[in-house]
Amino acid sequence: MSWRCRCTSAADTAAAGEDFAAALAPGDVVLLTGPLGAGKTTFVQGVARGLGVSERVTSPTFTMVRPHTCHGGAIATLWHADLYRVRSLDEVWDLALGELVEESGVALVEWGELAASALGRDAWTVHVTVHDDEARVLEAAGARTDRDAPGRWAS
Amino acid sequence: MTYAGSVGVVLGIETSCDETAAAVVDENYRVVASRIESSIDEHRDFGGVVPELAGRAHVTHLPGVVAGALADAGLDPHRPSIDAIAVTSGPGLVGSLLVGLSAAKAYALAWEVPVVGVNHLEGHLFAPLLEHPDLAWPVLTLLVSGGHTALVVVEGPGRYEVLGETIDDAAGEAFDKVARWLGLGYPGGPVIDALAATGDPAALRLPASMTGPGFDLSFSGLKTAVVRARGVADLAPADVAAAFQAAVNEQLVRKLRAALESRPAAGVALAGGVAANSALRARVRDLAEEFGVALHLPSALLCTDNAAMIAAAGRYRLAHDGASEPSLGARPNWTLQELT
Repeated sequence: MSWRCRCTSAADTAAAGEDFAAALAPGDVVLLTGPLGAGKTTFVQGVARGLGVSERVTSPTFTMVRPHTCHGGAIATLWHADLYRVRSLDEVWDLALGELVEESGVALVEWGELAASALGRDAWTVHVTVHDDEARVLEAAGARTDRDAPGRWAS
Repeated sequence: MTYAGSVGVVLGIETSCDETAAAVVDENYRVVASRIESSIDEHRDFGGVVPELAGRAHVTHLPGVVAGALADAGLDPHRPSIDAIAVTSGPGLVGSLLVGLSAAKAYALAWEVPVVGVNHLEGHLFAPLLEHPDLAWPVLTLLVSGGHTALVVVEGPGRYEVLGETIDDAAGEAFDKVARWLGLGYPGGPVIDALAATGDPAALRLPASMTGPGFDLSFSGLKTAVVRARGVADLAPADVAAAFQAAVNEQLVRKLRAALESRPAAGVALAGGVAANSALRARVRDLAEEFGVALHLPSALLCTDNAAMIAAAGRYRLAHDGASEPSLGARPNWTLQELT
């Protein structure tokens, strides 16, 4: 089972992220995949909005992982990671994303392909495909995608 | 703990990212010695900085870099007559920062001098002082590197107003990502700069970004526009590099111009690795001339990460705030806004 969402603008992609946030629970890890410029950071910015993050969410490439405090829900911290610079699985283990989310956190991992074998079994995946007309199709899969899809997502 | 002594010669240590650096700066902000060992070659195969590799490289390089800088300054590497040690405590990669912090504390214990933690971004803002110790404030500083992009009004040492920052990617990060996409390797800035000089920026039309009021910047959309442009695969890489670089610089210069129009400034400065971009330097030189303000373009070695700027900022922080506590730790996300 998976959920899908078609987005025709960056604002759409962010809104899809905001809706997706409603499906997240403490301890979740989300692996984001898709080509350069697909809108992964935009999606994370939307999720952050949905989780009540008030500060600006920018690319964490430089420090690999950056925490954001969430407000108004069961999730206390959004860990935003970017593995664009990581090439070996050892580096993924060093980030210890599984441990980071234990304390009521969730982790969103850009360029998450590499982390799939380290975290993949219980992790969500959100894959972004860019179509010729510039529309983005988001496909989410995870342990809870057998439930009703949130907001603008369709099962 | 306040520091009662006068702040004279400072040893700076910088290990926040790629570079392992040590420098000696005297009481007049003169760089007496500066050594930089880069681990970029070790990262090149990976297309970016790898945290564990960076940490290990710092451990390997730091003792030699510190001893070398002290020897260059004519000091005894085993018992140098220095007054303080300044060390980068953030922002940066936590493992890399801890290498510098641990070393600085050990040296400080052995040599019985105070240690002061320095914000790496504040260090960049001090770089112009190293070449112009008597410069006039305020200085509008465009800080552009692989991890940071900010437009800052520097009213004087320790007094900063951040006018705007990137809302997504750092400028240097966009250079790295586009360079990697073009198959040009890492770091992206120097290769794109060189290639762009031979290309035609008009070959690829890119949208102008962040054209509204305000000083925030954005480079993610530009990166996307490049890789998604129709027919881009058929263009010469030099033309793509030229168009991309021109668009980045256009946005940077437009914001700097808007800041000069709305803020009193005695000078403009560039800082950070992207400040080494030759086309950006030329455009900012023209801008300073147009507005009749002083131009501070630090030499390439002072634009990129170095320890002289850390020593300079550390001198100010020691005099202003006193020495750091022994518990001084790494602050991976330390912002300029948190400085007072």
